[in-house]
Amino acid sequence: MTTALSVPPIHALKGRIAAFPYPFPEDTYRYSTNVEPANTPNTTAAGGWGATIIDIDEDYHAELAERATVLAADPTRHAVLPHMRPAAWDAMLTVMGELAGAYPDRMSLRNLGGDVWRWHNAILDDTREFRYGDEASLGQEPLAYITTQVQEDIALLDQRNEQLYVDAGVVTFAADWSFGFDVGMSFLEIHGPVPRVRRDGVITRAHDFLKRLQPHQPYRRTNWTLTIGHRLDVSTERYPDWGPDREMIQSVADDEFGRLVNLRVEVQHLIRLPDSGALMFLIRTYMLSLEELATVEDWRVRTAQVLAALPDDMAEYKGIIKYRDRAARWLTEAAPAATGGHSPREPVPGLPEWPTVPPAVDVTGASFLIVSIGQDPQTSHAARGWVRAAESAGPTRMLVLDSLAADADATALRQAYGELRTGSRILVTGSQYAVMMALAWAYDAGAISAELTAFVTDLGDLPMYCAHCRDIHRVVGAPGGVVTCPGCSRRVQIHGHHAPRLGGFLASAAAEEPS
Amino acid sequence: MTLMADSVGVIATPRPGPYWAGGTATLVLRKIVDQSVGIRTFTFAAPDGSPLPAFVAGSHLVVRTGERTNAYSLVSDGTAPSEYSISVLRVADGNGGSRWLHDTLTVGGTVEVMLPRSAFAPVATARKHLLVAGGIGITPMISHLRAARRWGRLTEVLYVHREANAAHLDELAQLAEGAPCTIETFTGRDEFTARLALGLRGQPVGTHLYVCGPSPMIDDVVGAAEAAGWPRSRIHFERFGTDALDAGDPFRVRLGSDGRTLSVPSGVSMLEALEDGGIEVRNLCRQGVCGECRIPVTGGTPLHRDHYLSDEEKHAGTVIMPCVSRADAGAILEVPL
Repeated sequence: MTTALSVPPIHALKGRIAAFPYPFPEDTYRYSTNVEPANTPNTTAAGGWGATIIDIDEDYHAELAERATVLAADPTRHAVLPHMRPAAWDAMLTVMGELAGAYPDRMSLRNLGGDVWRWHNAILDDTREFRYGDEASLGQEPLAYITTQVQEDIALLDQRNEQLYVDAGVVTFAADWSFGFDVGMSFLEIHGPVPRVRRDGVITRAHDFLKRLQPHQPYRRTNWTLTIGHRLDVSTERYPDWGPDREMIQSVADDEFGRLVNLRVEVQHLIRLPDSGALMFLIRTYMLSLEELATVEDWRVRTAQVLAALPDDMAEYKGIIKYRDRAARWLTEAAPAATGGHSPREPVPGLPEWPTVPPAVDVTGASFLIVSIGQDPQTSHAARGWVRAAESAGPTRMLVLDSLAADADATALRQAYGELRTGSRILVTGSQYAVMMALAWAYDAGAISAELTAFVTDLGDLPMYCAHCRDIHRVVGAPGGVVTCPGCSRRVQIHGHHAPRLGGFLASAAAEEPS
Repeated sequence: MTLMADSVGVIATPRPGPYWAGGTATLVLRKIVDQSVGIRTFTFAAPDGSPLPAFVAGSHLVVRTGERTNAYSLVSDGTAPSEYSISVLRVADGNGGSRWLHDTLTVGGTVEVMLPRSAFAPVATARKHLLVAGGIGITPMISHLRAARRWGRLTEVLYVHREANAAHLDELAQLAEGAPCTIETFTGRDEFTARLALGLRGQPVGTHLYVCGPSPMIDDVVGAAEAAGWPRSRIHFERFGTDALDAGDPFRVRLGSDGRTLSVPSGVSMLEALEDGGIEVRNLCRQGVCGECRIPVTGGTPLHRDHYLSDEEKHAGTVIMPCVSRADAGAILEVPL
């Protein structure tokens, strides 16, 4: 450091620095399922954190106001799929109980008999009397309400068929992901793009751990990245606002760099909700600039080591590869450094794997619906083959459609799904766009993977979910490619990140093309 | 947490307080209600009446019953509860747990319980819930129906029982009244089988099936559902913890620590064999329910007989519940103990 900043004694450190959940217990960082029981205080070089599950700090009013602004501008940050209503109520009551337990002088939750409760938050001077399960009595959707009371983002995961699905949440402070896109996806699908984790089995182990969590035994973990500016909302949707900062930061002066670059830490609490059985993720974001971080000698040294040792693929995934070397050097020494090497953003492979020949009919089904979409001779050939096999196993219906883009055909397909009984199997064939939409609608109608079979005859098109106009479009293109969004005319890059419920691939504003 | 009654109401703390240290607590028996011949409902509460930890529909309560530890389905409401109720069939030739509850425990007496455990939860995305119960297997369905009623879930119940052993009939009727729920009861097996076959073929896509009852009945219902084309992942069942397991074939266990090989004769559990060999394994219920004695397996193929591990874990074969699970005749299991 060029400035003569001395390290203050620990007891002199106050507020955000003392309470900062410093995430690195060792000098190198790898993805790991670094979980520990909640409600146990952690001591750090500057103070400590973690005595309670919900943490209210000096930024309470400011962060709640920012969440309200984000939600007003973009309603897709709040979603509760219909089956998650019980979980949303359960989450609200659980968070209220945690708040009342942690801040008994300012928060209270009282049972007035039966299902009627009174909640009081003295900080916000907010009182609600409500009947559990009755939205009208509360005045709004419970997850929306409880996220006006805490700084934490909330995601709710449903557990079914040995999998976890992110089916509800209010997420306004996402770090480089899109809640609106991910809602409805499984935990494993969402983490598909994370490097190393598949190979190392970390995500699978985390998944197993989460599935086994029981009520009343909460756990927590931390996650980290770097963020430029004190910007809480660095979601995919807002990429046009913050993406260019990654270029800008490389050319700012050294003191500016230390003020602008923040170590961003998420404290995630993992809680099995005791009434609905859903899993609740509380995600709380803390930021400390490199300048502030460097006031704690132990943190300055260790953060520099962790950044320097972070493998490139992980720096790439975190979106910090362009400036993490400089951040490490900034922390290590005061000297200004050259900009980091330029690496292009590689799309991550994440295509669904389609079979090369039509898969066999699951003859354990009691009846069959075969859907053939489009004119491709391969499509009708596959459909006819399925019909022959299915007819010997049970009643079989074949539905031939021209294009799912046509309203009449879309209606016919949804109606056919609606008439199915449990025990049926659905087989669809057509272009990638048609098959993915037909599968998405089948899920929507209540079908599960074990009941679905698909064969794609043409990979040329795909359904694309644009993070900016927030709609699904048919485009001709492939993951990694850049296309013009048919909805909002932006140039967008298609990512190798796919959501079965929406049926689409994620797309967001393409990085500036070199001039 | 403490109970503080005042003029406004009870200060509720839905999270378990220090009273539940270690995940166990001592509760007081408040009430006994006779359901029918041999079936009684026992209602427990905290000694000071304070709120109890909430539980998911279909959860069971592990209760220390005299010398034994048994799991019973909770039949009360899991939302912000102040009481836990279980309905227990007196099994004359069981392990003694039900006899202790029926014959020894009296109102005002205490029992030690573990935090309720969820292993038979409703599927939130189901378009409809088909609940099939045999005999005392109606118990988890009662808490399912409470949740279904609260959230307006479409539900159909098929309940087969012996004439004299009906339980919770009045409660079933109350839970169905004004709710999107139909209940049919059967006292004849043939009548039930015919109705079930019909019911399994007429459900809207998106229906999930839940079965609880004696093991042969569960096998029949699961078989009928599979024959009607139901994928395995739509079928959910819970076997009674009190089902007697067969004695099993003799096999051996090799210890990773010192290379010793222990014999596990027929009729002796792997847990007992380990204990006899001087190996300590933490355990509690000793019937494959509580999960306490779970140990890793590094070699050989376990024959899983517990109600605790998930299908995925059973398939992976890297852990075993030695209190009930074994291996095939003559096989060797390796454990890092």
